[in-house]
Amino acid sequence: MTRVDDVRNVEVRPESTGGAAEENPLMKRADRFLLIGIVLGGTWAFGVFSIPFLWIAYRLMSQAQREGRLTRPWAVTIIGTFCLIDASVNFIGWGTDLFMAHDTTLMRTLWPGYGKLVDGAYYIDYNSLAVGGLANLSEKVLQFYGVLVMYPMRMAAAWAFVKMKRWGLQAMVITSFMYVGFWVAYVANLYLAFNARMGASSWGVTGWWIMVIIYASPFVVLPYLYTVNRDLFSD
Amino acid sequence: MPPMHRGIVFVALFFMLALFIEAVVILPLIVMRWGWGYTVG
Repeated sequence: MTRVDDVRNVEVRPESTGGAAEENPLMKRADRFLLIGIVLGGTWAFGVFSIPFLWIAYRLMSQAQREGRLTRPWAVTIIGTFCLIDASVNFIGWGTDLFMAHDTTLMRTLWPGYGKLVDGAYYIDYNSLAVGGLANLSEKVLQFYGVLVMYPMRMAAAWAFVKMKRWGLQAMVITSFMYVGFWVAYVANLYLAFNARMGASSWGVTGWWIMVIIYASPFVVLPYLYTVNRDLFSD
Repeated sequence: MPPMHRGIVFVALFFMLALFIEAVVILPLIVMRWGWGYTVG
């Protein structure tokens, strides 16, 4: 048998656009509420409004579980949702500082207020440079990297992960390591300018870590990504 | 579910809850302390 014959004998599955979850109406409905909840959660300022949508998604998935129609493990849903909200919050939140929104009253309240609480770079000379927003250039470079590259990749990866796609699992691993590199650069950058940053804030080092440790999601999920049964992500 | 996976799921849930609390609390806190707009000083 030639190699060509081997290829001909391979069973070809029909093209699928959304995996098993999309073939199940109940899970499809649950995923719709989940996505709305995540989008709202990702806005940061309106995060609280996402709770009812996430609750409805949870109830629908519980119903699917009772009926034996749950198409993915709860762990995947929870971890994927958390990573997606985290990436969205950073993407939208930091994006407001990077782009023109930093001129609005809301953002001229939120960012310098955040600066005065935990990180002085966000109020000292705020909006004083050509690109606007915070005036710490090394932080601004990390903003470009995060908002334009890493967080969009992370959001795509997390949603594909929730949809149980193989490339979603792989992209979660890749973006988690990107996130680790980013975190090392961010924390080093932060401490190099200590006096003008945590040293110039009300809550100092402790306040900064309490506020920002939430965003250390890659360190949490990497062991899961490497030990989960990869055959589950078959689509 | 293996214990490590369960632990990671609980940590993810905890962080998600902390994120909500932060999102809800931070803006009112800032406005109460310094008011609206860029008010350095």
